Amino acid sequence: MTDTRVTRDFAVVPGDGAPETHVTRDYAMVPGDGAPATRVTRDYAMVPGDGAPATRVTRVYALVVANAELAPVRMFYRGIMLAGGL
Amino acid sequence: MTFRFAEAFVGYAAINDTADSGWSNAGGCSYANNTGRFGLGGVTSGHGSTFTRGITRVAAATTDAVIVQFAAKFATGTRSNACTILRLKNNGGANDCFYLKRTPSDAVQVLDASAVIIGTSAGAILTPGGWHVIVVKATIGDGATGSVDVYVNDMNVPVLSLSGKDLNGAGAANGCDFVQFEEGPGGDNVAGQIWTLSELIIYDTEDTMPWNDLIGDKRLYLIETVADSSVEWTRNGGATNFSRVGATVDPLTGTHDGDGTYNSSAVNGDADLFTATNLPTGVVGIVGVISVLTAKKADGGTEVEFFHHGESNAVPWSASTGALSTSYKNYQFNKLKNPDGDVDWAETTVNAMLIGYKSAEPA
Repeated sequence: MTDTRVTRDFAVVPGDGAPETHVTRDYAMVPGDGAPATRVTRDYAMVPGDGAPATRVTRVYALVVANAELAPVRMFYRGIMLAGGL
Repeated sequence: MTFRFAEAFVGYAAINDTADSGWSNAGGCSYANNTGRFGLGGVTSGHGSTFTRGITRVAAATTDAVIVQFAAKFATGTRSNACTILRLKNNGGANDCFYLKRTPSDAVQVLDASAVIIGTSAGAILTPGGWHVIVVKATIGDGATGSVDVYVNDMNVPVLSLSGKDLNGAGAANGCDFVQFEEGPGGDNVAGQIWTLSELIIYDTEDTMPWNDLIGDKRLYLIETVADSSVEWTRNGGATNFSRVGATVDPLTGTHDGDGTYNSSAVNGDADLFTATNLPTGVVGIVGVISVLTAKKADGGTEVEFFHHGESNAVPWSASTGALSTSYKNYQFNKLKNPDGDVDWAETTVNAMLIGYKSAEPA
C-alpha cells in the first residue's frame, strides 16, 4: 500500500501534467516570432529601386551627319522671279 | 563605311569627368567644355604640360583604314615646340601608331610609330583663329603596308600622302583602336598651344555601303526631342516625358542633370518615342543618324539591358546598349540607312523620324 500513495503524489506536482504544451504556446506569443520571413520580404520590396530591375534615362538626342553646306535653295526663288518678269 | 564613333561634345559636365563622357583623362589634362564649330559643343585644351597628357577614347578596332575627321581651331601666339594634336594607338592604347602635330610655323607634321618624323607639309597650312576640318586616313601596318593621308579643309587633295611607313608599334596587325587628343608639349607654357576640338567623326572602310571612303566636309546636326509621341515610361514629375530627357532641362552647353529629371521603367518592353526638331532647310548628303542616350540601371541587378529605339514612317529599329552601369553613361547607336526601305536618309525622312528608347532584359 505504501508504494501506491507515492505514485499519486507525484502526479499532482504543478507542471508535471503537460509541460511541453505550455512551452510551445509561450514561444509563439513572442513578437516577431510568428512569421518572420514574410516581414523581411515586404520591407525589402519597399526600398526604392530594389523591387525590380529599373532603368532611367536622363538625356536623349540624335546627331545627323550631313553636308556642312546647305543646298542652294535661293536659286529656286531667283528662277521664279525671272519667270514672273517675262 | 562603318561609323565607329561620333562626338558632338554635348551634355557632359566636363570632358575630363570620365564618369559618363566615355573619355579618359591621360596625365591630368585640362581640357574644358567650349563652343565648337557651328555652335555645337567642343572642348578646348590646356597648354604647357610637363608631360604628355590629353583626352583619350577607345574606338572599335578595324583592320581596314581608319578615318578620323574633326574640326579644330588653334590659338594665336608664338611657340617653340610642335604640339601633338592627334595620336593613334592600338592594343587598347598600349602602343603608339601615328602622331599628327602642329608645328610652331603652323605646318602639319606626321610621325610614325617610333615618333620619327616622316612628313611635314610645305609651309603653313593652319590659320590660327579659324576653323579647320582635318582628316587623317591611316592604314595601320608595318613598314611595308602602313600608309596615311592627311587632308586639311580639302577632301580631295591630301596635304600629306605617305605609304610604306611603320604605323604599327605593336608589330601586330590589329588596327587602330584608340585615339588621343593632346595638349601643348612640355617646356612650352604658352597660350599659343591652346586649341579647340569639335565635331569628331571616326569611321572606316570596312563596308561598301553607303560610303566606303572619305565622306567629305560633313558637320553634326543636333536633333532634340520636342513632344511625346507614345510613352510608357514613368516620369519623375512634369507633364511630359520628353521634357525629362530633352534640352529644355539640359541646355546644350550644360550637362545632363542626372537624377534631377528622368524617365524610368522596370517593365520589359516599355518604350518611349518622341518627335524631334527638324533639320535646317536644305540639308543634303546625310550619311547617318546617331542615337545618343544617357542612361543607367537604378538598382543593383545585373540583368538589365537597354535599347536605342526609333521609327521611320512606322518602321521601327532597336539596338542594344548592352548591360547598363549603375551610374549614368552615354551610349551611341549609328543608323547609316533609313530602315524604311533601307535607303539613304533625306531631310524629310529625318524630320519625320521618332527617337526614343526601350527597356529590355537579355534573352
